[in-house]
Amino acid sequence: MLIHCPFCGARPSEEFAVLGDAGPKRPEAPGDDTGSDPEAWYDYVYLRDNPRGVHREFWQHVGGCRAWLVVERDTATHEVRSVELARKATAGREAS
Amino acid sequence: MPELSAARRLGPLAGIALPTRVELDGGIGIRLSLPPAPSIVTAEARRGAAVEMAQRIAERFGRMPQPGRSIGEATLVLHSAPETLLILGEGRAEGELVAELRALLGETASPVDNSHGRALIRLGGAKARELLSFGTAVDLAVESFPPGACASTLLGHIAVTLLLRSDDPEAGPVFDLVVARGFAESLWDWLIGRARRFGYEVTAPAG
Repeated sequence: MLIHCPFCGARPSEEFAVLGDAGPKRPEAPGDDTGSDPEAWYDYVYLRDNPRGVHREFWQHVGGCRAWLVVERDTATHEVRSVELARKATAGREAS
Repeated sequence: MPELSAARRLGPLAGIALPTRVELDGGIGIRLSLPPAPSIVTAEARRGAAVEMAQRIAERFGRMPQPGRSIGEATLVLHSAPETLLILGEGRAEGELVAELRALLGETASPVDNSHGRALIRLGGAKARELLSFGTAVDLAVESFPPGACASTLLGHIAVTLLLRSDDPEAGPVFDLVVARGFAESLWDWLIGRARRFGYEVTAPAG
């Protein structure tokens, strides 16, 4: 499987380490005025999607430029659909 | 400025990379050497300061190198990772290069002197590309990896930064490999193991 690192170009997947599901978003912290939901925290800490098909995952180019990436790939065919720097993919998350 | 003599430092391959010549069919395809006491500095832009760091590099070195490219002669600046530079110098006094970069980059980046933490191996010869292709998937063809190109990659499962210094039609390409100090001996063994099939020469460090 080749992953097209936005910085380094096409590299083999052996150069990368996978973290998994890029979906989870940190819930509001306990004590915030908005309140915190234990269920949301349980979901965030323990539950991960593991679909057959298209999935957005965090990968790190640990054997290269060390950048964190968000890779959209098909878990059944290993077709990589898109790769972007995680710092760009998650920009604005905190603001939203 | 007081006169400073060049750093004298034994790298991790002292006593291991000894002058050797192993010919194959009367010739050699690989040349290995160790530049004496290179200065190796990494600099990563501080948050939100990447543009300003690039401007300061451009003021001093002419321009900011493109991703995966390098610039400079005596002092080489490699754009080796996003918002991160690897700077190589030779014949500099201990700590001189990092001090110069701290003054240049100021609050825009944090230069760290890795001269003691990394090793630099120079690999040349007509078969250098062939040897490297045993260990890395980086496309080293001259069209995509011209002189000045650099890449952080795994070479025989060891993390290295590759730099193509020059590419002479007769003498062959000259690569620099920057590797973490603790992996230098393993990488050296790996290189020698691959080099045997081409014939190789290890030259003694000067001085």
